[in-house]
Amino acid sequence: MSLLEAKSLTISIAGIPVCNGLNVKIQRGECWGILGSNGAGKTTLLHTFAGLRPTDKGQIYFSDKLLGEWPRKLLSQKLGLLLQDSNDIFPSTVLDTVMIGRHPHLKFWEVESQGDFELGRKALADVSLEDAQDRQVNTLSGGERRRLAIATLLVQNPELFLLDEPTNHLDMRYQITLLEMLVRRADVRDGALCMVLHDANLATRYCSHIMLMISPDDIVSGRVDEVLTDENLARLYQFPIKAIETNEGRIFLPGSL
Amino acid sequence: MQKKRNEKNEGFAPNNRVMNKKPGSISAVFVSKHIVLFAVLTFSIIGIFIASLLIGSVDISAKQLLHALWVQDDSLVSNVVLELRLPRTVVGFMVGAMLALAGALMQVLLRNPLAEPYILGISGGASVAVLTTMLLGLSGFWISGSAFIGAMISMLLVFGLAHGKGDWSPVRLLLTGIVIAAGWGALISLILSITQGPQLRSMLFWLMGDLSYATYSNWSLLTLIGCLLVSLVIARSLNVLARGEMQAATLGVSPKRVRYIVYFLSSMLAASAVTLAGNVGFVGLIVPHMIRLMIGSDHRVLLPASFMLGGGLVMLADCLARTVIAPQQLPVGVLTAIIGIPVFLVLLRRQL
Repeated sequence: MSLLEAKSLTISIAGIPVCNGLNVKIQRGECWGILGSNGAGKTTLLHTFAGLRPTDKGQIYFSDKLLGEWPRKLLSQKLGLLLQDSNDIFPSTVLDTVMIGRHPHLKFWEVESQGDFELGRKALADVSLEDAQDRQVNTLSGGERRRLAIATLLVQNPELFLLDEPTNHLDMRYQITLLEMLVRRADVRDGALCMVLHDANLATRYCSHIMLMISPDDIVSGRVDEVLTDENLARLYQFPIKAIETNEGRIFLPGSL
Repeated sequence: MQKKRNEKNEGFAPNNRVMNKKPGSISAVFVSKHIVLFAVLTFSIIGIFIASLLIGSVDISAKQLLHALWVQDDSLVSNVVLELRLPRTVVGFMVGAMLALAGALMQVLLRNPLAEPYILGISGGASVAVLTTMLLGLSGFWISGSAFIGAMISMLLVFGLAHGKGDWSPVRLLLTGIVIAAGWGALISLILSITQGPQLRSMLFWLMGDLSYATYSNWSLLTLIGCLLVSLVIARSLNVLARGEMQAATLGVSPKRVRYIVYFLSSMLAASAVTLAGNVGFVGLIVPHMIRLMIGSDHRVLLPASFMLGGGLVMLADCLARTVIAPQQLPVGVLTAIIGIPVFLVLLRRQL
């Protein structure tokens, strides 16, 4: 039983095709990386997987049930999406913000229990924001906001983590520690991850499977060691890319035109 | 007294009750902070309410007031209190509460801190209808009736036009509302420019917000209570929606459905407030921000607290409007601004 399955999926945004007849299966225990050049529609695809956009053709199944047939609230207990950006217009503290991740787990008349607040504080500690819980969100730096958004997703605690450029704004240390933690959390729930990345080296390091969005009709997907090659990457980005085998694994270096 | 007050406060902040059972935690600190706010609000409202019954062109002592309320005879004092001051004070509270609640809702709906109850043309539609009625020489029931009808027409017009091809984004709604409001504004200017004499004065008073002809109605009270209850039910969804529609959708909130409810609630509240007292400005914009500056943006606290502060502020403003240059009266809308602006600026300064 696959966690997420797209069958002959065709989607477009503002009339521009993103994919034509895409077939892909995300199984529990897998970690998928989506790579593509700017404007290839990676975010659009991820939003469609999350059920936020309609499809033109084809179906998406989550746990073998059509995505559209899931009650929104029940779905959000099992499927979480880290958006590319978060924008907070109204003042709010870090703790209040992270607690909105509990929303799908509470009935409308329920309030956060002490246990929910524990989860929130634990998630803040997981992203090293435990000392910032009373700070206003608009005083946080870009990287701290990113960590807060990840903490909110941890509080939501889904089975399938859809991550839109999770490493945006993060320094090297947090890129590694937070990705490792997200992979661990998905493992704990026996779930899966699917993330949009720009760094092929992070993809080799954490992903088991890769989807390369070369063109709407040419989306290459498969196991990381088979798909993530210098040839494919050069085709993807229309740019020379060199693979170097090291003791730590394969790394990719961009060349120059 | 202390105990009684706390019970009332907890009724307004449903999230406090459960958390309060576990003292000694950090959230208990949060709760006690809210309890202080609600205690101060309740105490102030009671104080202003009593003062509003006592003060005016005829001075009434506390003893006379109690007598008038208990005995309800045909004396002058009894008449003044029961026929004039009590309904006017209650209506003042209702208008303020409606506007503040509508403002808080409108700000989430449009995700814009500058939003206020009149921004989408509700009051413009009501104003055009009322001024037309006044121009025709009608008064009394016709004024409030036409205000409500004008507000509803404007509400449906904006709703329909903003809907377009299924997309109902905050920006589109905001722009549609602002354009419609500008249209109403032009019509208001047109009517004012062709009106002369005493009619013009009563029109200007109505436009500035005036409680002197306000009459209490059970419908308004029902609207107010109903809207408050519904908004408390969806309050946690509003916390999520305030972070954006996408974020809300990923957390299981249907943004469209919640936004329809919020549009309907805030429009009904604004329409009812305009029907009762004309354009009382400023309350709907500033009161929610005052509360946000004090306690943050949790709508489960923000909505009831705005309700109370808005009501109290308009009661206080009306109290002063009746007495500052008595026997002449000032439009209450002017006083709400004069009281509210310095308080708001102090809060803003303290926060930054």
